Amino acid sequence: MGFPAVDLSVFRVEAILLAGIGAGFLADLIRPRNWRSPAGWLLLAGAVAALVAAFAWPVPNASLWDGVFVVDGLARYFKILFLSALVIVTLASLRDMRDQSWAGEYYLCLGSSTTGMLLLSGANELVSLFVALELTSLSLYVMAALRRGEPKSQEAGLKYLLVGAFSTALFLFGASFVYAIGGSTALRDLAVAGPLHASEPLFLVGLVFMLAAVGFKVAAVPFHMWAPDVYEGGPTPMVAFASVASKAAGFVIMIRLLLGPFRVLQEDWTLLVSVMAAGTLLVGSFLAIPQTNIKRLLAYSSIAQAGYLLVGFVPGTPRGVSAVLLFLAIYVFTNLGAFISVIVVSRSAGSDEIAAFAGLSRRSPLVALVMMLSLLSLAGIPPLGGFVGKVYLFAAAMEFPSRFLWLVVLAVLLSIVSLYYYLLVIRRMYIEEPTTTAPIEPGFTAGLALLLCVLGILALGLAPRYLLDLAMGVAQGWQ
Amino acid sequence: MVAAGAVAVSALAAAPAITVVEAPGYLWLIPGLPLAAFVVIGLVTRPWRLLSAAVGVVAIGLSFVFSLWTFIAQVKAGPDTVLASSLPWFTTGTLHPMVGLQVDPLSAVMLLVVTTVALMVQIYSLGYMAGEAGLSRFYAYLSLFCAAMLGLVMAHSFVQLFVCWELVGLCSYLLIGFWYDRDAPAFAAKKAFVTTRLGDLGFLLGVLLVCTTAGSFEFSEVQAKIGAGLLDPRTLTLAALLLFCGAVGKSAQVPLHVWLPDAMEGPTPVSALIHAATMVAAGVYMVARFSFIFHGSPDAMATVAVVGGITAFFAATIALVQDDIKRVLAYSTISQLGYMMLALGAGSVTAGMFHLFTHAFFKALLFLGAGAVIHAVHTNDMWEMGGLRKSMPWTFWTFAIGSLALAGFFPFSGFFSKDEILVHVLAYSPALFALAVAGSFCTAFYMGRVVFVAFLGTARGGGAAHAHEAPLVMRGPLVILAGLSIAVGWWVWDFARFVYAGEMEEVHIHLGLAAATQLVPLAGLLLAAGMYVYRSPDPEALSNRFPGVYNLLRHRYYVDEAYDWLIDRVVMRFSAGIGWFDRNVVDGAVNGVAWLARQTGAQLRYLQTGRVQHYAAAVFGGVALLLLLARLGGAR
Repeated sequence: MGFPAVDLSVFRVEAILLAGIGAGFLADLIRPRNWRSPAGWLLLAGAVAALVAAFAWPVPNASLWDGVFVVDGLARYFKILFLSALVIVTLASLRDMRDQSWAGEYYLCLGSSTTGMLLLSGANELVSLFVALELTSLSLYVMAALRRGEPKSQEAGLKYLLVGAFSTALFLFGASFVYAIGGSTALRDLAVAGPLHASEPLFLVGLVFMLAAVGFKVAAVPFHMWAPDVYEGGPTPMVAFASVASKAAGFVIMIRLLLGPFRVLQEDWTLLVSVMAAGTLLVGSFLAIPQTNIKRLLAYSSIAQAGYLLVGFVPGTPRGVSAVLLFLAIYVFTNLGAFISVIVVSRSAGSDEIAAFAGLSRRSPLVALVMMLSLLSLAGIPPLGGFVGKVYLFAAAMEFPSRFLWLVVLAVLLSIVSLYYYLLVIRRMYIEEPTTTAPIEPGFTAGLALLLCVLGILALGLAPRYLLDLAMGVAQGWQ
Repeated sequence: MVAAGAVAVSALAAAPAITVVEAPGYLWLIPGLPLAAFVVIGLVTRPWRLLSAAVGVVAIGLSFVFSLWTFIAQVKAGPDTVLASSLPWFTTGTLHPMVGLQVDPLSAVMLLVVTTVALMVQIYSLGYMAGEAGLSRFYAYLSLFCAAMLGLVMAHSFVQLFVCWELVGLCSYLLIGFWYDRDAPAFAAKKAFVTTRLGDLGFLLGVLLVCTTAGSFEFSEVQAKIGAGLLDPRTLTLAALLLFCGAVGKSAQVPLHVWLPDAMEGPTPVSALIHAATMVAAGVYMVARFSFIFHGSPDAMATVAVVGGITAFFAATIALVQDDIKRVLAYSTISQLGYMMLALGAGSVTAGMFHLFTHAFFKALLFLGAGAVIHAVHTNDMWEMGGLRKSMPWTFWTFAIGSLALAGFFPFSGFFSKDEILVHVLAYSPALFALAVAGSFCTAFYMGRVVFVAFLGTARGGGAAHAHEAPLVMRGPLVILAGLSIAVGWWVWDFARFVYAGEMEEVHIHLGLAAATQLVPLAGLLLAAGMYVYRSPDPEALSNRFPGVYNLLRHRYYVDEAYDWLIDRVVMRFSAGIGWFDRNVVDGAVNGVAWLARQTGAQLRYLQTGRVQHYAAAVFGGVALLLLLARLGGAR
């Protein structure tokens, strides 16, 4: 069948980024052996240009190929989110990757993963959703294994790939059931057909399988087990990117699927998601405590954060969706702030142990301050962004206090537990004596990335209104 | 101008409805500039002492200009208008935390008082603290104090008021203990902090009580709820009494007055700004601000009046026998704050606030004058001074003006404000009136004693013999404040039409009472002159004749001793018991929770084996579980 000609300019954001990736890839191939790879700078240029384009020339609402791809508020919001994360992570990678032989591959995968996410945010049909999701994930699997000669990295890549394969299989299975019942792969058609088949058991099975696959992306219990190993073994900049962008990607799918075709099964998935949220919060909060490796600690911390996000998603209301959108944006700056501090510290210490942070405040007051603000924001201390984000998530769930009060109470109690292990790190940085007094310099690009994160944490905490109105508009406009 | 006389009051028509006007944005600069100065000094200019001082002075100077501007805007807008500016922090459901500032006549007057005195004190400190190594720290603290005090004055909600209330307390602590390497200031700072904290406990409870029963943190909404009669009188009484606890601590009223005399260990400019003109007046301001709560409870009003009256008299009697010039002024401040409370308790916000207004200028003047003397003679003991009239004429004359104003002589500003208080108190309770008049006799006596002993006669100490007049940066503020001490009293008529609570009070003129009440301080002054200039009656003979009274006053009614005994014998023993309980039971519980969290984590971690087969099993087990849950959910 023939598709009508479409105006390809709706893909301009993706095209600009691809141009940066392509230029970087080519330059990496043809550069003289003794030159450093320019791929990072070209990717950065492409990402910044794409971000500027996404802001300055927003793509108007569009629907391509009978709704296979759409451009709507949700897609625009997430594209900006992914590109912001890419810009910050690329900035933070430049110094770390400078002397790595695999820098070219790293930037190629980073770029293609982001491209997958950009496509994912507009995919409105099961097959295109799946392809975009696989593009995102496969690039991440490769990146996790990039540290050649590093057994932990190999292990991380392999585990990520294997567990990812299970989730891929689950997604495909689920999608095929849904297609079998609904007779279409377009989410728009399925949303119409859904109510007719709400009682079909296979439709429910499809929901559960796809929910499990999404649970893998956002690292929700019990699909989280890959996260600590991958976080520990993968190159830190890649982990930083995966921890925020991959999570956000999972929530795009969740919003599109659960509030689209599966809206009719809301009674069922509310129960599933709230149980997942509770388990995710419990495991993330308690397992972070015994960790001695900062990357593993942040892995559990990001599992716990996924739990908070699920709490906001549970009611399935526009307010819940807007709270999730707001929290994700805040989370980008907060979690990247923490991870970039880790990048800087472990580069000079040569270790990912929490012990390497001892006395950091005296070795690099700036990095210690950013790390502290990020951790406090993760814990949800006012007036930082994380506080505002959590308040909105909990408030959204509190709209139905009779049903979700237990979940909010649990989440608040576990916030206190999480404060404990964040404070353990802060205590090391500020109270303990450093083992060496050699100062740590973040360098210009990573310093800039840290600055961007701090600005984001503070600005979104002190004046969240603008972004909140935006998120509210997106959530309402989309519904 | 009408001839001087006593004031009588009649209520005019009930106040019309309040209109709220969006305030110009520069309102935020008034507390914002000193706050910025604090940050800049702390982060940037700390190594350069004079630059830091300049930053502080310029910030408060600009703050003063904007305050004056705001004040004029408020006068033009009229007393029934509130200038407000608030920013939503964020909104969610029923929760709308706002950050906001509001200005009404009450706070407009306070703005003027705080910024004027603060500006004078900061300029004066350039001379007084010139050789100080910690000058940057000094100006940083002063700037933070100004920001907090201005934020307190312009607060629009109980939360903001409480935060600023605690912040000024913190700055007071930091500045009393400015010379923290000496024992006495460090101890005095601690004492001030702990004593006021005792009152703040009640204050916090009061705030929580009001806000939970009224369902709002904002003054305007709480006032509307109370105006509509939504709170029952018993709750109002309890709330008013709890709030008043905060005022008793902050404004050093009996029985929590003990910290203020010790606070004189701080640098003298700090005493002038914080412990005479502004922070200690915050308690009075708070009671006036919440008159909509206090006026709902006659019992609470009576408590305020009695505590104020007792404080006014007893502190004045203690001041009679002090040797340290700053301590005389400190007890005098306590006593004058008592007068303000007395007026508020008697039902006149106008009288109480006008006395706060005039007192701020002449008491700051007296402290700065005392500072100039101490700066010159290097002692606080007035018996080692003497004869300073010759060597320090500027200081002498301005100090004399301040003393006359404090004693309440016509035509100085203290006359107008104190007379208005006396008229109200006479109508309220003759007994309290007698106490107030007796206090005014003591006031004239102790100020006369200071002036005669320290400035007249001949030098009794080496420092006094070689004293020099203060430098220009210190003289200037003295002269300006002296001018204000003379002039501001004549504003009383317009003030009454500007600052009031509920109903406007008209100032009427009475000759008889004024003449009678002028005789009382005159008698006090003459007795002081007789005793300390002409030695008849001889003060030593008097103290030997009445040793009981003299010792009672010397020991400040043994209040400090009583507290020490109480703390040693009762509180410490009780604390030891609590300490045991805390170590063995509370800590046990806390550690238990931490232990539980660690154990839970330690046990759970064995779930994470690192084997990918187990991960796969978990994934599929999870799917099975979800399916089961979905079935169960579907069966519902």
